[in-house]
Amino acid sequence: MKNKKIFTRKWKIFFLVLIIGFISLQFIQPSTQNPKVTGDLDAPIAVKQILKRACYDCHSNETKIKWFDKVAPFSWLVSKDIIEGRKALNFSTWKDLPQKQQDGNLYTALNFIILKEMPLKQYLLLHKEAILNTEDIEILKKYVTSRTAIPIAKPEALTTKNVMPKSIHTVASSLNGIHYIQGYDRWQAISSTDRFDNGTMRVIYANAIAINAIKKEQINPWPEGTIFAKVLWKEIIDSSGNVSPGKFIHSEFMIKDSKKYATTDGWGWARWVGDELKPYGKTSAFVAECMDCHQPMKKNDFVFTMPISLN
Amino acid sequence: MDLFNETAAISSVDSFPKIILKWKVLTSSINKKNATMSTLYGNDWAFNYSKQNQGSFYPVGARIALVTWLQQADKHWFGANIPGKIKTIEIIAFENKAGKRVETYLKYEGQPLIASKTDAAFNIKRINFILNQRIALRV
Repeated sequence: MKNKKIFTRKWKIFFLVLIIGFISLQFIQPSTQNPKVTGDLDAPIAVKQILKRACYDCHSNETKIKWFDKVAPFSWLVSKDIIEGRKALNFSTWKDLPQKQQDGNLYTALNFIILKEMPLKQYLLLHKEAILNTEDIEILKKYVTSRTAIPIAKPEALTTKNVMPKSIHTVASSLNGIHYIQGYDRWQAISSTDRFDNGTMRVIYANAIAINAIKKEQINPWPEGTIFAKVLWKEIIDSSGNVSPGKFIHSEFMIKDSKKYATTDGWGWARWVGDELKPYGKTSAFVAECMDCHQPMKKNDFVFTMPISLN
Repeated sequence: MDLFNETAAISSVDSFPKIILKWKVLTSSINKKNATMSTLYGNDWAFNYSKQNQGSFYPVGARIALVTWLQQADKHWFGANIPGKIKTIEIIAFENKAGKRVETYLKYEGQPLIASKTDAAFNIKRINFILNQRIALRV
């Protein structure tokens, strides 16, 4: 009997401490403010309605915080999501971005929605209004597609031959220390892509290790030593709809080594830009861009390309 | 999520050697109106020639093949099209006949892919079209 009383008293103290702690937490609130809107995205009303409903809380300076978002410790998570969200994409400072980057951001955002990476699952738990249905996605698809029609090339662009630069003997390593891989164009191609979102065409090559894995149908995960090379060209289109590769844009690589590249999802990422094959980025942090974009493919070992079946 | 693009494969019932997909890529192209995309492959003779030369006067022994697929939307990226079903495979062989370099044209089409009969005028038209593809190679 005495033991039971002590036990009950302990529980009472425990809950009291918990309640006091919870109340105290409410006095430590993050300051989530709405900075000035300097250049909001201009889009049709139907598109704006969807974006405001599903995206603007974290991706604009017009965040509307609900009462339950202000309850600590959840308010700290909400604040973190808003800071990171605005950093990645902010519709309120939209006009500061060049047109090309605006279009790229819209396609990326839309693909993250389609692949169910966005809106964040934890956000949707308490913000059901942010769920995008099929109709919403169709409206967004039409809108982003309408922004990126590729103009027909001028006649001189159609007749100019691509000039291959003279062999480059020394190409600087990427900023994360990867050496340029010459001779990838002797590898087998596993697919090609027509990227109408940004007017580029690509060929994706794979080394022998990857080709064997495709034949054995063992590509998830891809075996150690796998290397992909992706080569991008600007699309040149004539009045008949024929598209040919124009200016060389860049070559990029994914190198599978789970130990060496453990901190970057098991892949070494590298890109060399332009005819002079300049290493991409300003610091080695460029890798974060590659990884962020490939995150929706984590269930496919971070690889977007579906190789053409060889069986 | 799908791992393989089964749609674009050369089927086992196609009367066509898969070896062509092992050849080297010389370039690729798209036709927006027909919603097709093509890859021009070449054997080692053709590839080595294209790495060194701007023209399309391939040496005897060279073979090139234009594989054309219908496009399909990429399930992994809205904004991209990838190869769908194979539409045609056209091969040009550069051979020596009686001391002269000649070009032989062969076309496979349909599902399954079978060799189709073509006349001389058609062959010349297609040879010109294929030889005018803009080569896209880099170091």
